[in-house]
Order: sequence, then structure tokens, then C-alpha cells
Amino acid sequence: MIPNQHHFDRFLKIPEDINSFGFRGGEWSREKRPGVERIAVLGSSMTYGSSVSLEKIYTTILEERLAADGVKSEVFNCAVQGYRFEQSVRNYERNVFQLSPDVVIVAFADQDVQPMDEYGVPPKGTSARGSPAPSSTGAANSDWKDWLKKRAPENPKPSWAKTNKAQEINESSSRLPSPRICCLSGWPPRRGCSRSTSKSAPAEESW
Amino acid sequence: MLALYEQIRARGGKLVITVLPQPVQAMDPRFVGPEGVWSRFCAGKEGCAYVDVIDPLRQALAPFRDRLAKTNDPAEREKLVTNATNDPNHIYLGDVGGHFNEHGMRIIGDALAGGVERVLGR
Repeated sequence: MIPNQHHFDRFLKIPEDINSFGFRGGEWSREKRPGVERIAVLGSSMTYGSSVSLEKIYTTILEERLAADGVKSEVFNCAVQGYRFEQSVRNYERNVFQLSPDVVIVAFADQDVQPMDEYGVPPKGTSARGSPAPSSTGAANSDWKDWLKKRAPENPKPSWAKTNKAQEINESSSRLPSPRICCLSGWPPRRGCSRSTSKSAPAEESW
Repeated sequence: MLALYEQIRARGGKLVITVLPQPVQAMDPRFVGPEGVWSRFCAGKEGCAYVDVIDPLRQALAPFRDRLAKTNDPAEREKLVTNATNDPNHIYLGDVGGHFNEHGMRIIGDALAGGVERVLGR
């Protein structure tokens, strides 16, 4: 996430601050203190604590519980909203390992471990998050298409789309000359776009 | 997961795996409990532990689900679900299968503390 951000949850009530590491919470030290266990938690929005204040997220509670049991610790909430397991692994490889954690907790919902395709589309028969879409009472609904239709009914096509007008517009636009994109340095060389032909655009040259 | 475990071990760290249920009543039994996938993954691996938070969460949610099951009035049911955020007998925010509320967070934190202490050898 973008570091050093101060924003609120979706109800604009709970502050959700992002620290200089790009994770939720206050500032952390890079230097490891002797006798203090470092615990990094990887996960998605459930760990990030959407709409839950920082002191009530389970990472903070974990730190408190360990302190009560005599274990000095620093718990880093390295979760990112919407992340699946694959992305959390990348997160560890690129960022989290720099914190030198003694323990890494991987916390994910079961759907987060399903493989992503290149467009991030979940497997067939699952919701946008990958699990069978839950109904309002929490029961699993295997037919996700029906569930989706109920929530987001298909928009009727606009009247212009029902005619051939849209096709006409498409065809006429394809007859227009394609725009010529020139690089000011003349590289890469393109026909009609070399540095020597840039006389036609002296104003651009001066940039 | 194996690749991640090996990376963490190579750096001298330990791995704790937990599955956060979303929603708890629709959990895939292959992941749940001592016979689940992740529990078996950690079995025999040094510095690796699976911590089950599903069972305590399920137990915490049971009174609410009983109450919901006994409520026939749809409006009353809707009210129960909508008010779940501040319900001390609920674990999720307003929607049943969404994110955890403070109550759910506390249960997860408590369960994880035991697992972390175990993996640290305390």
C-alpha cells in the first residue's frame, strides 16, 4: 500500500493509518531489539482489520496476550486488503523479510489459497473472492451466477446499442487515419517520424 | 506454502498457519481440525504449527445462530444480522460472512497466542 497515508474505513468512522512500510499501524523500527520476538502476520482484509480500530485487531490483541504471558513481542500487521495467498508470499519475499521476523503467521480464508489466473478471475462456481457466494444468512450458495444476478441484475442495453448505429460509428472511426506518435528523440525510428522530419513540429523540438 | 516455509526457515524463522473462516458455518472440512490439510502439512516439520481458530469461533457463534434459527420473522432476522457488528454473541461485522468484529478478533488473538508460544517453545 502507499506509505504514510491517513484515511478512514468505508463508513468514514474508523481511522486506518498506513505507516512508512506501507502496512497498517504505527511506525515500526527496522532494528531488532534484543529479547523481543518479532512476529509478522500475512493476510488479507480480514487480518488488515477493515472497519475495526487498530487496538482491536487480533494482531494487537496477540501482542497484548503474549505480553501478559511474559513474552515480549512486536507484532507487525503486514496484511493487504484483497490479497490472496500468492500475493502474500510475494509480499514476504519483497518486504516483510526485511523486518527479520522470528515468527511469520500466515492467516488466510480458504478461498484465498485458490490459484489466480492472469486476470485475477476466480475459478468457476465461486464468488469474486473465490468462495461459494454466501447468502444473507451465511449459507453457501453453489450457484454463484444466480447469486450475482440477484445482487447485480443485468443492465438493459441502451436504445442506441440496439440499432446498427454503434456498428456504423465503429466502421467510420476505423476509416480515419491512425494518429502518428512520434518520439522527440527520433528513437525508435518510425517512418515519417525521424528526427530529421521533425521540422514540421519545431515547437515540440524546443521542449 | 512449502516454498514459503523453506524461505522462512532459511532465515531462521518459524511459520504459523491459520485459516480464517469466511463464513465459519460454510468452512471446507478439508481445512478444519487436526486432520485438516494445514495441520498435516505442519506435522513433522520443525518450526511449523497450525493453529485452529475455527472451532473457538464456531463455538462463539453458536448462541447467535440458535437465536437466528428460532426467529421466523424476516424483519427480525434482518435486524439481528444488521446489528451483528455490536452483538457480543457475534464474530463478524454486519454481514454474517464478512469481516470479523471486535469479538471475533479477540477470539482469534487469544487462540493465536497459544500457537505462537508453542512454536517459540515457551
